[in-house]
Amino acid sequence: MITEEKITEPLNFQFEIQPVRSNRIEHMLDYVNSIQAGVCIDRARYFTESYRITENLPQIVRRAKALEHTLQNMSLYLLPGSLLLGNQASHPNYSPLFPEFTTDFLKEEIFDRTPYYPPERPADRFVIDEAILPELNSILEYWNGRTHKARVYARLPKEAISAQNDIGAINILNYVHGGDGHFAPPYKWHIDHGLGYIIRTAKQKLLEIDLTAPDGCDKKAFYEASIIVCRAVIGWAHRYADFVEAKAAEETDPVRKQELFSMAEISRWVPEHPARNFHEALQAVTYIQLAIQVEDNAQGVCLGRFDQVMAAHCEEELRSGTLTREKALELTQNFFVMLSVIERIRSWADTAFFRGKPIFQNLTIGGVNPETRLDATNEMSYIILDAIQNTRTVQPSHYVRWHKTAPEKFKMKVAETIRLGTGFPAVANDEVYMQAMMNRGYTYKDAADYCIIGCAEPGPPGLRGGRTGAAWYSLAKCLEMALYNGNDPLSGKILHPNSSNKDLSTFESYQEVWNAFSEQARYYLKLEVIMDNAIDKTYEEFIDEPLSGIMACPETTLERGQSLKKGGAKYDFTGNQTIGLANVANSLFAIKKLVFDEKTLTGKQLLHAMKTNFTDLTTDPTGPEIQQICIAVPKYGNDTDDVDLIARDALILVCEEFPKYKNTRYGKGPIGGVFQASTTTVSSNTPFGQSVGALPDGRNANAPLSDGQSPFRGTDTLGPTAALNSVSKLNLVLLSEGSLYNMKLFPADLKD
Amino acid sequence: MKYIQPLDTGGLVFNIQRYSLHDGPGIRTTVFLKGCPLRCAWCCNPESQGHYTELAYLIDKCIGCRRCVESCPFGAITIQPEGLHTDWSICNRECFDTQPEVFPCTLKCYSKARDRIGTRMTVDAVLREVMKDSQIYQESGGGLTVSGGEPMSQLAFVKALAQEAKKNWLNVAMETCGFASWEAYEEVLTDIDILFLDIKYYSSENHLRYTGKDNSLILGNAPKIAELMRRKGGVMIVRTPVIPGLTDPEDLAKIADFVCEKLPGVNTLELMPYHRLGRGKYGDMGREYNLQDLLPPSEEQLQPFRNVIVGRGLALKP
Amino acid sequence: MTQAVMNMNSSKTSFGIQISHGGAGLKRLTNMIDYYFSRGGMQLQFNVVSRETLLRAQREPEKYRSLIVRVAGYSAYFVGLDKTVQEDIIARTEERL
Repeated sequence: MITEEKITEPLNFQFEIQPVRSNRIEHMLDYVNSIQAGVCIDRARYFTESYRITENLPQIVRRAKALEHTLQNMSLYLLPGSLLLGNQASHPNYSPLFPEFTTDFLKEEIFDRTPYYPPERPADRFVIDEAILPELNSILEYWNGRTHKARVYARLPKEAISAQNDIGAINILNYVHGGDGHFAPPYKWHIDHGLGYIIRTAKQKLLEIDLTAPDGCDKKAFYEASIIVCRAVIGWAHRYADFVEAKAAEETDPVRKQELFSMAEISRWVPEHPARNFHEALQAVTYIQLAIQVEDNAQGVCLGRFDQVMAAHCEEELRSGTLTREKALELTQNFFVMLSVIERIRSWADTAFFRGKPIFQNLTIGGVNPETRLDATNEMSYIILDAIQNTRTVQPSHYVRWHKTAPEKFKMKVAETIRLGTGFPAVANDEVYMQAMMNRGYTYKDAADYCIIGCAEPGPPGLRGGRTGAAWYSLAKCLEMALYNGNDPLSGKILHPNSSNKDLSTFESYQEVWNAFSEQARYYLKLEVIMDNAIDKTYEEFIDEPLSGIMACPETTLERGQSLKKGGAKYDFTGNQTIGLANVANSLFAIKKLVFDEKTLTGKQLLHAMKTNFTDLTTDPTGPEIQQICIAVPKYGNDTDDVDLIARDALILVCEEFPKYKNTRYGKGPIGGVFQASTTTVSSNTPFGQSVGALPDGRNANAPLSDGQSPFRGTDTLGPTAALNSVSKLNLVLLSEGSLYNMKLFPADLKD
Repeated sequence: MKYIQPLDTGGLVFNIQRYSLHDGPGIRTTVFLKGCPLRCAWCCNPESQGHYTELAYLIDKCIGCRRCVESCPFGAITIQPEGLHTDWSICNRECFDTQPEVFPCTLKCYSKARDRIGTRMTVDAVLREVMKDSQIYQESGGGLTVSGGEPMSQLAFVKALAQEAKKNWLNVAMETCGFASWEAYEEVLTDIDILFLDIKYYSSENHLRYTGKDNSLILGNAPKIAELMRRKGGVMIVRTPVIPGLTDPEDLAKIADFVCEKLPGVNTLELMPYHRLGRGKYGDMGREYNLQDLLPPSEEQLQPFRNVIVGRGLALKP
Repeated sequence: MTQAVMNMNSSKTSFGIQISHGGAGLKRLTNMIDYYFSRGGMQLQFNVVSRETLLRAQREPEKYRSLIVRVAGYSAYFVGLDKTVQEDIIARTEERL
């Protein structure tokens, strides 16, 4: 009898290396993890109350008043043992509601219970207190016909809607259900200035405005709104000060009592005034970060280069002895927990694109100093890495800016953190990111100060407006449309036939295939631009966020008196997200090789096999055999120039086409004002795969597409250097909105 | 026709493995040449042994189309109640011995379940593959490793490959079982920086029993190879397998003494513990694996072997 | 080189050695990042998890509640993901360093 090797738990560093946490952090996490995700009505209630009585006000002021009313009245809580204050909803892990964006899915899912009542969803569940339903119903009633979604759809051409709903080549649902976010406030500037500075400046500006100028009224409204929201956030902090003082009065533990009093004192000082120490700085950031996410449910509100934000206070206090490293680490972990309880309820349909409920509050460390061009790591960089290793929350998410001259100690510490397998931190290459940005008009100094926003998009904190994440764009679907002469095999819709009027069965050369592909790619790309601009225009007119705007780019918006959506940022680009690059390259190469170079199959045979999802047994070769023939063709990811260079060309096509289109801020002040491409996918490669039939690369109909610019799963078989060589053949420097490559490593290899 | 090929037809390569970490310093590309004079009972690469191209049938990849049954003109593949049956003796006679341009059964095997092992490649073609990772060799101190099979059984090719590699300033390592003429080694070693020499047994009897060949040629070559490597400033490492039940610390002690006394400049005796990852390949090639029940050595089993080496002041790892 | 031949080979691995070599594996990881970036690579993100662990997590989710994995530009609890995304992550190529 054969004795099998002992079956043991495979090595995984998350289990192998247990986190080290103080009791405070341990209890806080236990508490937070014990609370199921739920729905909170507070924000919807107070926003709606305010909106009902402010019909007459300028839009941006109206929105400021609604936020003010909410921050004055929403319920507060204190996490057990927490040294930081702030909240987004009535409980941790509860999602506020944002009915001004859409009421459809709330009505369908909560009241009609289709397709699922949120507490009963197969994934991404939310509990709902049924007692809120009558009130919610009346809130939804008010918003009916006034929502962002309704306004967007009223603007969109039918063609674009069909490209999304019927064909599945593009998708913008993410931005009809909520705010657009995707910016990084300059937190260093905020903690050094305080919101009081913004109020004083805005007041001064109000005195100076020329109200006879064409945009005088807009500027006046902008400054007034800025003052209202800054006061509202300060007032909220003061409410918290009262709240913890009351808690302190009841507290029996003298140590905790003292903590609570000192937290109250901190909240009376920040975020109004410049932070005087590490703890105050973190508290100021917490209030601003959370208030922005009460204003709207945007994702991608990012923390910037956080080791640079905190460096001065951290190092000064460590030197003077007023702060120990342990305390700094504990506060940082506490800060992570505060950000980890943010929630956003998405429609069930939308969750497929965002599995696991990401919020993308990205935090970047490392990189170079823009002035000296030298490595910028400091003790705070290491404290943050320790906090990532030992807190292990899925928010915030983390990035390291990696450059050649970073110290070995830092690189190894990053590797040790990656080894845990939480996916944190991702690494961004300073050299290429900065070149990519400069290629679009950033100055060296601004490019050198970039942080990661959203998934993988670069922007200097405080200088970048526009939406780094925009509509999704399925390049694989564009290829499919080209092979079917624009006739969608799934929906039967024809939006744009190939100008050659040929399909895969009639193309006479590979060049004709490529031409048809580029034509379809350009066509759907244009529709994506139309969608993005329609959305932006709707935001600008109806939901121009005052707090997000003033926090994201305070210096330029204050100076110009223009919100972000009116062109208030120094740089402004609208980002794209391209899906399925590997499938496109592999499929094009399979067609080239099998149909035109080697003539193994005719285009007609291949097209028939695609239509029948490789199942037709009556053909010769049979469908399953044709699939095997397709699979055997060399794939992107194995350092084979023939196919890698097709991937490169397909990506260049997208990267060069997007910047030909202007966004709604073009010419209004910012540098840029155009679209640019990225390969970030979130989890959309799965739902986009649902609407793509079988492809010539051998992929079955409806299977997930490739993610990011990664090789198609399982097809890169020659080891890491071959895969990396393939991916690096793409002209990545053109991907000025960011690049995304997922690599899965085998834990045991990192053991020694 | 079946054995040694002239250089102009290229070398018979059965794999090129990039990102190799265990065949010399740094990150390397290992070129596996086909053909070996030994038949070690524990060999984990049975496909490396024949000096000619062979066939593997990977049942997991088979989609059951049965085209191979029709494709084979010799009737080697038949449909049996338990599935497809291959009469490997027919394959041996009709294909492996005659080495036709294509193996007919692979012609319409679209899933590549039936695949030919071994590709003729020119020195240039091999080097083109190897140079794809030249940057990582520079950064990691790696290079090219020529392995097998037994690379020395393709003498002209291995010499030309090593020469070309040196022209490209690559670090070149070679793994050999020592079973080739001294003159052959003299010719090749000029372009080899690191030599891994296997001494599987000191006992001549066991060597014959478990590898199919007597070890006198190997033990005779070893001191001369060591001396040559020492003189040219190269590195030589001796490797010995640890096969539970088949090798023992006593024989290892003799190998270690031999290394200390007869091999100048060699200070590493590396143990190669048995593993069974090659097990399944025997079946894929229609062959029997005689060590079915053998398990890899445990830590406790390895320790006495290590003690022998450490006790003589030799290093376990290069 | 054909697919079957590549699958046939397994690199020679030193088994049974449990001794720590002062971060050699981590060093290979930093070298790989440096390597990719020096060739014009822009961004990398990692999962460090074996297929076997993920399959077990699918079978016994209650034991793997805390397991975090990278999905795309973000991380999430593996057992909270739906099946199609889980499968997508499981099927990704496992690179050996």
